[in-house]
Amino acid sequence: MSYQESQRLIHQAEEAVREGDAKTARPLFLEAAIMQQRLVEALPPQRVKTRSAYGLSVASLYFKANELDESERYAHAILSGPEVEPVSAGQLRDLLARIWNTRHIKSLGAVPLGNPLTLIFRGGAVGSGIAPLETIDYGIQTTLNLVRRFEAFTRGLPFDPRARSGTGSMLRALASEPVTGSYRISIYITAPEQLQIDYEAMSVSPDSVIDSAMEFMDAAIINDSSGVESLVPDQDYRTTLIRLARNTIPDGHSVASVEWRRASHDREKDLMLSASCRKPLNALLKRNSPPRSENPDEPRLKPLVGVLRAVDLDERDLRLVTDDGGKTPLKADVKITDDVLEPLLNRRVRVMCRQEKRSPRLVIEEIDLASLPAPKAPPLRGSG
Amino acid sequence: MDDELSTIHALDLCLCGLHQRHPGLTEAMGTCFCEAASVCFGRYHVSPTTMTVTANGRKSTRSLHWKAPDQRIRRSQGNKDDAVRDGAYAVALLMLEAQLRLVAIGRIETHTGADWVIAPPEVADATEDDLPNLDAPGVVRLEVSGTDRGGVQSRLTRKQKQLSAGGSSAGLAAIVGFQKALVLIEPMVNGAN
Repeated sequence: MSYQESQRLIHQAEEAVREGDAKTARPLFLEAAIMQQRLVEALPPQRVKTRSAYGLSVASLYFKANELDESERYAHAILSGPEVEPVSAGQLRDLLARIWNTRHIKSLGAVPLGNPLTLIFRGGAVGSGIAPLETIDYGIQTTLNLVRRFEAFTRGLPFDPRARSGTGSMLRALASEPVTGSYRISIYITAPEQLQIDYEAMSVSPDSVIDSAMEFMDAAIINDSSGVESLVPDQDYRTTLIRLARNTIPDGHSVASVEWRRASHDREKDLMLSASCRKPLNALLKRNSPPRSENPDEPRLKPLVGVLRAVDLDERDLRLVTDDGGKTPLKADVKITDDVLEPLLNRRVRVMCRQEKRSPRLVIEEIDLASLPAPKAPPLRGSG
Repeated sequence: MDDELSTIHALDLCLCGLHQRHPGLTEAMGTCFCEAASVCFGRYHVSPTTMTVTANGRKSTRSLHWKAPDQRIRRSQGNKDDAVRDGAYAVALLMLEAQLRLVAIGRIETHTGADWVIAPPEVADATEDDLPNLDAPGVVRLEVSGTDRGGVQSRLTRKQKQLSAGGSSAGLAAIVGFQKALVLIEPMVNGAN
């Protein structure tokens, strides 16, 4: 039994994880945990930093071995010791939160697959642990739609404009502890408990779905057309994913920024989304959309702005209520997919439409959130 | 050493044989990390790659030699994010050794990944059976982050804040940017809880 031997076991376990073989990895992590635990317990009391750091290591190895009870017990044991080095203490508390979240998901008959994607909302109307519900709801919905569509793409499913959820896995959003000056939500990919091993052995891992979605966003928000194309060669999927990505961009008023943070197996990855990301996404969409042939019988009209209402979503019949109260009947073009459209309902949007010759309805060719109208100045009180 | 790497000048660096100088690395780990780094560099550069390294505020340039990965290595390092992570470990440890005379003596597992324990070579005398001694003078904790194309400075600032958030423990943060061929190594920001 030695530290070096535990390192060899950890490396073997990580290789197994890389190959998607969780069944082989777990007992290796467990054996390494037990080995390191014995070494920690043999430390003299004055080795505070060493005990704290390697206590964290032991608890983390138990977690990676899916021994949640042992991991929790050991983390508490280290934290309740006479002295704990602060960096390790913080990481132990994060680990405990992660264990509790994992248990909560299991109590729902599911298991978390991979690491969660955390959304951190800041600025605008977002306070410390509080935020307008519809703002958070919109942020979660648009992010879920993007990840679900990515799941369909990475699994090689045929493009479906009516797709409303990824097949075979359940995305759950759980509220996390607030961080000062922000509000945060973690999105976990979960699967029914009895199917866990099947999911972990899939050639397209749930981890890779979220990783791919983040990589796509990373390229998209800097208008990296070749990067986006290499990640998603299929044009239908690509243009839809760009629209879905655009939907996730904060408006700059109710939310100033949204950080995507992903703690994966051995690294942390993050993105910062703000209103300024909208412009490169618009440019990217323009470049990736098929060229529109001008048809004099179906002229393109000036953009319209108003609140989008659903009349019959199954038939894609919509209505735009403009600022002056006017109601314009609309129909969504087939390329504007349901998952792009749904979060925009009952919101102020800007639409580009064409007039179809044989229909009274305008056809939406592009749609995006519109900026809020400037507030009207209150009337001045007259004197005297 | 292979022919490709045989004409390295004294000031050049080579992504190879890390385990021979870093007691905290097994041969398998060291080889894996170097291969990962070669795959990451291979996306944007050819060997040798001119690296800009800033360590403790001092900027310098290093010529980094690495062996072009073959098809088998590319396949085994197929997960891009894992390759960036592991490749960053190799490059960061190599630069720490070259710029600051620090070597890896151990690894600390966390639920999100792993930190490193680094020390001057003369301190790295822990026995095989013992845990690396973080309480010994000169031994510090290192957190490494890699980025394929993204911003390096902003990532470093975030890492520094993470290291300092828990208190005044000494630590180093190292960020490796593969496309930018850039390595930043800085101590954590002192102070705030």
